This record gives sequence, structure tokens and C-alpha cells, in this order.
Amino acid sequence: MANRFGLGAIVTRPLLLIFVAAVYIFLMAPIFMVVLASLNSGAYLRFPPEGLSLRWYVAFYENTPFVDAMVLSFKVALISTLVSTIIGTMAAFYFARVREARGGLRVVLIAPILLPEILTAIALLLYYHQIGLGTRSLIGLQLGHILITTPYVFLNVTAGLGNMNPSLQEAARSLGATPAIAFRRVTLPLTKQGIVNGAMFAFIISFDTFSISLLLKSVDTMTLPIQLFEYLQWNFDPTAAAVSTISILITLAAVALTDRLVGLRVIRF
Amino acid sequence: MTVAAALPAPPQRSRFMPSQMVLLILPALVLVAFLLVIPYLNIIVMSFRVPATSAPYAPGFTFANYVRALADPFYLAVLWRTLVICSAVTLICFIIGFPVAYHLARTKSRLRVVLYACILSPLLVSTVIRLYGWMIILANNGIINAGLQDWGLISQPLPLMYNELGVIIGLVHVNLPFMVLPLLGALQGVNPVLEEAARSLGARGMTVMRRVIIPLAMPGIQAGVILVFVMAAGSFVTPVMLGGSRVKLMTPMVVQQLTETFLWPLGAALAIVLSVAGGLLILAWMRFTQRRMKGIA
Amino acid sequence: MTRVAIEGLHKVYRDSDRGEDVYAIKGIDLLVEDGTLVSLLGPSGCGKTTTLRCIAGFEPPDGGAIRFNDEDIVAQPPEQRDIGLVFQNYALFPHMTVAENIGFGLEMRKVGKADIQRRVGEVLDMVQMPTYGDRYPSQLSGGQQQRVALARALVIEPRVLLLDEPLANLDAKLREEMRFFIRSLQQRVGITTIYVTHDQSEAMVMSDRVVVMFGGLISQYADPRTIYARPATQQVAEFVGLSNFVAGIVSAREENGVRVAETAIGPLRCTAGEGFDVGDPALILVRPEAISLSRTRPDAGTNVFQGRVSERHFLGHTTDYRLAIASGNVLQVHLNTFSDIEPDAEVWCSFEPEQSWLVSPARGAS
Repeated sequence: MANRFGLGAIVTRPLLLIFVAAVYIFLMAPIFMVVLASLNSGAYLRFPPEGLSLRWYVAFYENTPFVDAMVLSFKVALISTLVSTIIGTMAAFYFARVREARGGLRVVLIAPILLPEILTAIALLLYYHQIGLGTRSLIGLQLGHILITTPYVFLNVTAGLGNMNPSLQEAARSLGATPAIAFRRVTLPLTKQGIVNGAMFAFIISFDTFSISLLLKSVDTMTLPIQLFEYLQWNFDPTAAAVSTISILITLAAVALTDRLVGLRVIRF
Repeated sequence: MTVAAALPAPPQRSRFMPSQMVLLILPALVLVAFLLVIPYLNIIVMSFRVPATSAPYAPGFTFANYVRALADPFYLAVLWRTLVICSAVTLICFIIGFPVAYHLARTKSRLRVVLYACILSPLLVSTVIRLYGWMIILANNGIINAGLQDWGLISQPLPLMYNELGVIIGLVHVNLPFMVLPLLGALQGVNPVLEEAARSLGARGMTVMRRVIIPLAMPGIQAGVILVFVMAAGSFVTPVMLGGSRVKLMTPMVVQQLTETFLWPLGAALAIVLSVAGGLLILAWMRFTQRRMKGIA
Repeated sequence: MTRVAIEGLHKVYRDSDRGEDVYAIKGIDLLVEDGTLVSLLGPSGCGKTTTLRCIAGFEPPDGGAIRFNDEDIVAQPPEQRDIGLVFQNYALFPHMTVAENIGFGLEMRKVGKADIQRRVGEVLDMVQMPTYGDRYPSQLSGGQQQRVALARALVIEPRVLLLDEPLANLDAKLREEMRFFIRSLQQRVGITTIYVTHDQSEAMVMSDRVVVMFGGLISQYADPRTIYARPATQQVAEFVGLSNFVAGIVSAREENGVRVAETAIGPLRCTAGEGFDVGDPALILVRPEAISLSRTRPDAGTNVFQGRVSERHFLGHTTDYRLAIASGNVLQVHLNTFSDIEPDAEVWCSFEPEQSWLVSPARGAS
């Protein structure tokens, strides 16, 4: 009511609402279509869909390269998450403790997500070949993943620490806690949310990332997005949709788990 | 200052020992130094190497790769097309992203959280999957063409992908969240009271938008534009999956030079040419917007 | 039983922008007697919070000593000083319940579980929140959080209680209530308390003694009544309460510290402390409520002069008059609301010599 003549009027203007709704449909449509195609019994998605079927999930289960790729992606993502969570959290604590830390250093640490991923992938590809690491082993790919996931942990933990009232540590000290105990009893529990959210991002980014994996892959190291990409070059059948849907579900599970554990943080740019 | 000289030295306190603190940041620094700084410097060096046929490069250094990259009309055409398409994608993202961000920043709807999740969710789904979704929609035997043919509206499928249209649709979709999120951040920081103040002074809706909201949201606009442009210029999978072999863009071409024809020095030079060209455009944009941001950021 | 003594305290900050050292505290001496509440009062940047943080142990002083009963604690880390600290933003641990917050300090002191529970219960009763133990800080109002913060600081029975603008985030009505609450609690427990505030009325109401600080130095350390009626400097007088100043030159010394000063509105008799010899410049401080007005010339022999009412403002409990007087000054006078003097009325003003005070003019002031 009060908004009728205020700015609220713009927000509820029908034309704007229709436009905004259309953009949301545009955003969600492809994801929705993939899920729908995976459950459709026909080889091509039509409206109305031809019928409900899980045959493409069976096809996925019988497709060894896809299953292998999914297992590999999962492993790589877990290792990336573990390592980058440790490295990124440590770096964030450095910035929280050392007030003199330079802004430039911060930019260097988040550079892996500021620079185009494909350029980093190209740089790593040439570099690996020159130092003799090549792309025959998993190590190069794994290191590349850790490089691009660490900034997500760093940013999330830094944000959590930044929001923390600095008086809390002082309050703990004034009540008799040593710096170590104040850290363990006050700082760490309050940082947990940032750490777990950062870990979630690290997992999802590693699980989904494409460019780094494409350039650093070998025959033995086909991650799921790469396998999917290669498959779609020659095939168009909904086995790919079933694979995609499972991949989306894994991501959602990571989000849900994070929400259950510590609650999701609102991401801001 | 004379007082300071007369004072005893401050007692040593155990607040922190800088040497120990450095251990906290050391792993991250090593990671970035060895896997980012050195490899990037390596590309620059590589771009000056002498090309060879039997090995990736021959001994010695040369400017020939840059001469070739900048003199060959084919490469220049690809570079030009890349910059034009990326600018178009950025503009489209702004035009459709701004109303969405504004609505989300101001709405009091209970669906707010759901809408926010919708903006974020594409980021949580692999690009390959999202582009696959577009293939299901846009392909010759995809939903749109099949639907139109079933209703008898068209006899031949419309060319919706494997052309520039498909690439632009894909790039807009993939990068839209990177426009909306910074805009949202900026618009949430614009106090609605300012809009009411402008109204009370007699400004109409569109004038309020142009004179108050957009200028105050400039930091977000600046960030969103840069993010989307960089992301679009560096995209590889979108032009390949939705453009096919017909739409030649710089990034896929560079990757091709490196992984298929193994022309490392030329590939490196092309990558640097694209980065510098993109960087110059961003610099120009920052200078353009900086003048409009006095007193804000 | 703790007496706090601060001797020659200095604190220097490095201003990295200008590359020079800036003094936050320029040498402070202060003695806080056992069981008293002393306020550190001053504008922001005067060094009061820095002083408190030095006592708490969060700022290492660059010189001087801080003694609790003759024991210099400067070298001790905060957790060994046995202090209770209440922050402006309360600093309650958001991930702990009220009971866990209050019990934290006892836990650090290795008190047994049952004892902790009992003492937390007692202190919750003391702050009148017996049923709130299981709540989280986010579920409490500002005033409740404030009381929990107090309880958390008091339950460890610290040697000294330090409060850093604890009421600054509360609304006016609650702030008023909490003043009396904190004061009565402090007197009941009998704990030595140092209270930082920029609110002069808060300092007046709550304190046994008040330290007025400007620019890293103590301007005056006295009981509230003395600070108000006998301020040491013009700066103190202006910071505490409302002031009228009339400039003059001392012309005679009389009994009981009374001086006669020649001013633009004639000779005035007023009270003064040390100094103020004949010929010295001086400012006569008269508080607005010390001046009485009448339509007819009063019988009193001294300190009578004429003025014209230029403005009248209704304040509720009093009425504020602005008087134009012969010297060209404007005097502020507060009278009982039920007095009725019209604007533009010509009136007679007078004040008692013992209700005025001589201060030295601040350098640079006219």
C-alpha cells in the first residue's frame, strides 16, 4: 500500500515482472531440459514427453567410461577439497592475524579465479611439458584443480573472519583464555561456517571444472565433464542427460550437506 | 618526539611472531608461485621462441610470432570477431541482468531466497551440462525446431546453433550470473530512501533510474562488465559446443594451435595478443567509468 | 580488594600514512581506590579507551606502570590479569548460550561443573535474568545482552571491572535505567570499577570520581560535584554541562577565595581557586541555573546587572532564556518552567558569588 507511489511501484510494474520472469526461465531452462530428457523414454525430447523411463540411467551404468570418469572426478574433487581447504584456511588466518598484510598479496592469492581458466590451463600445459611432468599422470591435473579451488576457500574463510567481531577474542582473553584457547573455543567455531562453505565450493568447482581438465587430461585422466564433452561430440542420446542429472544431484548433495552441517552463507561479490 | 626518546623501550609482548605467521601463508604462496606466476611468465617467454617442426621450439628468440599474429588477416579477423561477440554478450548480459538484479534487490517477496538460488544455481552446474541443455533446445532436431515443425509453422529447421546466434545464447547464459551478482551487491547498497528523495523532488521513474540508481550502482556495473567480458573472451567450451567449427573465436583457435598443431610459440603469442587486446578494452572501460564514480567507490 | 595505580602511562601510535608517531596517551597518573567507580570522561580520541585497553592488556603501553595493589601488571597477558571487561558491543560469543557465555571464564579457571552451574545461576539472578540461561545471544534484546555481558564479567569475581562505553548502543530510556542498575550492582559487589564514557551525565550519575581527559592528558580528577561546580579549565567547564563565560580582569582578592573582577558589565564577585592575582585575566563561569531573573532591581548588593530577553525556549522541565547583556554577550539562563518572562522584556540578573567560578582563559580564546 505504502509503496503505491514509492519506488516499490517500479518493482511491481507488470512489464518488469514479465521480463524478470522470462530471464529466470531462460536461466533455468537448459538445466530443466537435461533432467527432463534423462527421464524421457524417447531418444529425443518432445512436448509432450513420450513417457517416463529410467532406461538412460541403465545405459549410463553400463557405460564403463562414464562410470570411471565419475569415480575419477569424485576422487579428484575430494583431494582438491581437502588440500585447498587446508591451504586456503591457513592463508585466510594469516590475513586475519597480520594486519600489515598487503592488498597486493591478496590479489595474487585470488588470481587463479581472476584470470581466465583456459589461459591458466594453457600456461600449465606448456609448463608441465617443459619441466617434464607432462600430462601422463594425475598429479598435474590434481595440482591444477587445487590451484583454482584454493581461492574459493580463502575468500569464504576471509569473509567469515571479516564478519567476526574482533572484541570476541579479547573478551575470551579477558575471561582468562590463552591465545590458543581463545582460538580453539571462539575463533575456530565461528569460522567453521566459512571453512565448510569454502570446502563445498572447492568440491563443486573441482567436480565441474572443464578447461583445466581438458588441457591437462590424458587417456587415464578423463574427468566427468571431459568425458561428457567428448561423448557429445559424436552422440546425442540421453545417456548424457542421465550422467548430467547424476552430476547435478552430486552437486546438490554437497550443497545440502553444507546446509545441514553449518548453514549456507550468502555469497556476495 | 623528545618524549619518546626518554621513554623506556616497549616491553616485548607475545602477540604474534611474524616468522611463525609466515608459515600460514607459505603453502598458498608456493602454490601460486609455482603453478601460476612461473607458468604465466613461461608463456611470455614461449611467445618469443623460434618455431620448429620437429620439436616444440628451436633455440633463440624472435618477434616473428607476434608479427605473424598481428599481420595475418585471418588471425586479425578472428580477434575482431572475438572482441565484437564478447562486447555484444556483455551488453546483452547488462541489459537483461540489470532489471533482474534491481528486482531482486528491492523485492520483498517470500520467493526472494528461491530467486537468489536460481541466479546462483547455474554456477553450481558444469558448463558442459548447461550447454548440453541448450543443444537439446536449439538443435535441428531439438525442442524448438521439432515443435515448430510439428505445428507446421516451418518446413526446414531454423539454424539456431552451430552459428553465432548459438554462441551468443550460450555465452549470455553462462555469464549472466557474473553480471547479476555484482549488480545485486551494488543495488542493495543503494538506499531506497534516495530513490524516494529523488521522487519527492519531482523525478519520474526512468529519471530516477538514470540520474540516481545507475550512477550509484556504477561500481557494480563496472565489476560485472569486466567479469563477463573476461569470462566470455576466455571461454572455450561454449564456442566449441554451440558454434561448432563454423564460428572461429580466438580462444578455441589458440587451444587448437597448442594441442593439435603443436605450434607453441605462435599459440602463446596469440594468447598474449588476445589478453592484451582484452586488457586494453577493460582499461578503456575503467577510465570511462571511473570518471562517473567520483565520490562513490 | 584492589587499588589500581597508573603511573606515567604513555602510548604512541605509528601513523603510517604520515610516517610519524602520534601520542594517544601523553603521561597519565591516576589512583583508583578500592571499591570505587571511576569514570574516564572525554571526547572521542582523548585517550580514554586506550587507557582502558592498556589496563586490560590489549594495548602494550610505551611507558609507565599499571599496578594492581603495588603489583605491576604491564608485562602480564590479558588472561592473567584477572579483570572483568564489558565491551561497547557486548562481545557475547554467538555460538554459546547465555549460561555457556557466563560460565566461560569459570571454565578457564578450572572451576568444577557443579560449581559453575551454581555460580552462573546466582549471577543470572543478580542481573534479574534467571530464566535466560539456555537462550542464545541473538535471541536477546540489547539491554538483556548488556546484562549478560555484565554477568559474564562479574561471575569470575575479577579484581577490577572495566567497562568500555557499555551503554552507547542502548536507546535513551534503557540507558537511563542501566546507569542505576550498573551503579547499584557495583556498590553491592563492592568491586573497583573503571568506566569509559563520552556521556557527561552518565559519568556524573554513576561515578565516585571522574577523570576528564583531553588530548591524551588528564585535565581534572575529582568527584562529580567538583567537576561541575569547580572545573579546572575552560575546556572541562564546556565539556561538562552548559556554561556562560564573562571575561574580566581580577581587581581585588577578598576572604574565602572570593575575587572581584572588572568586566564589561561592571565589577563581579566570584569564587576562585589557587592563583588569580590582581591584574590576571580570568573568565567567570556561571552555570545557566545559577542566574536568577527579576523584573525589579533585587536588593542584593553585588553581581546585579541588566539584560534583555532575546529568545525563550520551552524545554519541559525548565525554560531556556537567552539574554542580551551590556557587554554584547548572550547569557543562557534556565528558570523554573512556571516562571513567565516575555521575550523582549528588560530584566535584572543576579548570581551568588559562591555559585560562580573563575577559570583561566584557554590560550587562543578571546
